[in-house]
Amino acid sequence: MLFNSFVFLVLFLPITYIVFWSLRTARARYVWLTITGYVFYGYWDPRFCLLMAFSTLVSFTAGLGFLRWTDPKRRKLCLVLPITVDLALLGFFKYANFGLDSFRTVVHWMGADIHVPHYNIILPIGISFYTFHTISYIVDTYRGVIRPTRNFFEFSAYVSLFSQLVAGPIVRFRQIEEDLEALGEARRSRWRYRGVSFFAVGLVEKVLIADTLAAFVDPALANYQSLSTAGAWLAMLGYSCQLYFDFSGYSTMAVGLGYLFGLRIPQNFNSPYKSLDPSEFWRRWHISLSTCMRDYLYIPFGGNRGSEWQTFRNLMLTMLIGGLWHGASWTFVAWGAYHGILLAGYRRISGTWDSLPTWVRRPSMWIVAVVGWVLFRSHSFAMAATILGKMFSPASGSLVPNALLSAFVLTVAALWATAGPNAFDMKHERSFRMELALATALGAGVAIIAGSRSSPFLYFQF
Amino acid sequence: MDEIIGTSSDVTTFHPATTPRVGESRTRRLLLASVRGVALVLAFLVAAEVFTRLDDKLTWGAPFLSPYSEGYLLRQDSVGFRGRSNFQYQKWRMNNFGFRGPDITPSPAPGVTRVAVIGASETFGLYESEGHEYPARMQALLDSIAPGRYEVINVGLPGLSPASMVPYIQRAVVPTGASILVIYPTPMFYLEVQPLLVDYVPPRYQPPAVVKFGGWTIERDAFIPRIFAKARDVLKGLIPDFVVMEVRQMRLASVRSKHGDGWVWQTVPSDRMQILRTHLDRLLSSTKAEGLQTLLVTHANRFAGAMQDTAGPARRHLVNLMSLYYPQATPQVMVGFDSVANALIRERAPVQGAIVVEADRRIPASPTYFADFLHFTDAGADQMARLIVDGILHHAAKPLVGAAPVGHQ
Repeated sequence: MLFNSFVFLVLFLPITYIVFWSLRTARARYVWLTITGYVFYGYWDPRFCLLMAFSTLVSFTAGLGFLRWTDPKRRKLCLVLPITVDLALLGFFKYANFGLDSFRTVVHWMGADIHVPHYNIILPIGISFYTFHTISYIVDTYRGVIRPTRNFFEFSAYVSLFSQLVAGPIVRFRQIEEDLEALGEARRSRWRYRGVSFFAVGLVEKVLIADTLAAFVDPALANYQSLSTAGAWLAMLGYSCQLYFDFSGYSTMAVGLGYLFGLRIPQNFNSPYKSLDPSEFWRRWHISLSTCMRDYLYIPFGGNRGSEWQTFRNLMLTMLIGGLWHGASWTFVAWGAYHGILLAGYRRISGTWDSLPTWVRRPSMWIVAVVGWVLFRSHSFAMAATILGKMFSPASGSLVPNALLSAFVLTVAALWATAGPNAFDMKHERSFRMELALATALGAGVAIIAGSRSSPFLYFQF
Repeated sequence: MDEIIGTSSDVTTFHPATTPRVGESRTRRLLLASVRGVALVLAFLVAAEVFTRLDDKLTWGAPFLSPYSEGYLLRQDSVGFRGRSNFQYQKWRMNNFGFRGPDITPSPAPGVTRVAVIGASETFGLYESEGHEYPARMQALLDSIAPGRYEVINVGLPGLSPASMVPYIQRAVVPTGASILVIYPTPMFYLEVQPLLVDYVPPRYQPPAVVKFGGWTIERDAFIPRIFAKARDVLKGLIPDFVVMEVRQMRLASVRSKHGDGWVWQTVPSDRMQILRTHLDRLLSSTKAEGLQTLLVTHANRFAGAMQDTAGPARRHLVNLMSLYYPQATPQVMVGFDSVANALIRERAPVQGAIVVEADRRIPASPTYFADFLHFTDAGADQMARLIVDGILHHAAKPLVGAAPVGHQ
């Protein structure tokens, strides 16, 4: 079920909302959020619910183990075992074929004649996100950052919370624990206006900006071989904005939905194209993921506490895993490596780079990010090489479809992304003018959804 | 990494809603709230309407200020319905002559045989993806076999019965210079409660109402809000299938209960078949008089003349048809009528010098080929196109010497 679908807006959300606020106790609300989370998730394929339920049960049991046992060996077991189970599930569903295909390529390249199978595995939607939720819970409990809950439905409501279930943000238990604990006393009117306001902003980002950009980016990149240099740049700049507004729109809607149910979900995007350097970019882009990578990968690897070489190694490892998390493809790994090199490179030249004027650093950082998006968007290295070749050497060919209109939409999107406010910068104060703006935004969004151009969120595939 | 990635800003501050000012009277507050509410609803609706039109413009190239619904694909004049030239509604694009498909020249190029394909919605195309309706597939097949020799034009229109085809062919098809005419008649029209008249009478002509702004003339229907129609379609799509089925069953029962016993046909009605026979004869003699080489195609349906599968989705198609258009017919009568009509086609076509193309016996009765009771899927349209192309190449007046047989299933 998509946030930008009528079945969600007209049926799921109103029913979930009305029933939720008619329930009085925290326990009843946990149960209801769990049920609705599973309905929301099962709408794609009910079979995947079993997987999520299993993962939830394993992590919850581990939490109970931490409460019961204090000796290090058993606690370690409570850490390692559930994480292994979670990662094994993720590995099987997401990376099994990737591993086998890569192995087949290598053995064939070496001249060996070994049959390596390819399995027909369906990737459960959002598995990368809820696996991160459960792993972060286990690790934080082990570290003593949080006290695990004894309430199974509180935990299952957290894992299956529909607003952040399939495409993030990756909300850590500690970030919404306070609101979850107080859910029984939550007041409906407290954050209702903020919720609607955030949701409307997210809807505009997704359906008016990202989906409109998709109307020219997708066909252009489907025929990337025929693009000219200008066409390749337009397509990739368009894709950079499409991806940002698509994912940021989803995250903003998730925040709005959280508010509607008395839960404060943290910011996931903070205008990343306003960044002046790679380090800042990762503080602004997919914040929930980058902080998880920092806390659960980079710091355990040693962080920047060792030599320069060790820091570089830790950065590269973190970003390579981050790239692989996005998808089972070597292009994603290369994208991670690219950003790892950028971060390491920036550490070396930060003094010089930071002395450059803002008007040089900001557009340069955006272009550097756009180059990375070529790897991210390409389904093969050949495609990436072709697009990069067209971008950086004169090539004749076609522009994007509806070039004039596309350029206009891209300009609007780029201006908003690089100079405009994001949802958290806006004042969500109740005023007639704001209400008019919200009504207009919702009307526009609903019109596009009722039309034919609204599409699934790009980050669902991860 | 701390300085590289940093921390997320967790939550933002809460801003309380505005509260009413002290001293403000209750009536005034209510009035103000009502005005605000109306203004908000208006803002929502205006934005929705404007963006609906922009979306239509961007997605389908529809003019911002013009009538826009499937009904406007057709226009009415004093002789009957025609296609609206250069109009597009979603995937359905009408050409400069008001036919579905790309623009055509007033007459065929030298050496090119123009093939007109006429029929109702099955021919016009309903469920097929754009460019996969069977006349378009025929063009692609003919191009692959005899490039540049044939030009296929889809002159089919939704609701075109054999009776209404006669004036339409004379007025709209003959002037195109087509020399081969493929007719795919829909027998189901003869099962409507109000029988088709033996002598065709065109619907009463009503010129469209217009509004003038200075030098601009705009059809009044251009101002009909589009958002409501779209919202209605979307909301209908949210209703579960079993609910739709139950409602239609109830509606069907209600209509039938208003009539006495014997109103529902238990066998194929012979009077209706007689009208079809008359109309077919008139149609074929008319095309013969115009000098058109005619191919008459038997009518295929999801059941291939046998009522074995009346459960599940198949039953849904039948109930839809019975409740919406043909409440007097039982499922057996609907399927049986098609079979008897096909026998009639086989009998009458040779008498009038037309070639019969056997679609009902050649297109498998399967959901792979039919999206509902009688409309094609892409695969069904492709099968249909192959059969007709085969007929054109091997049996039409000027067969293409040496043409390879087109694949049969």
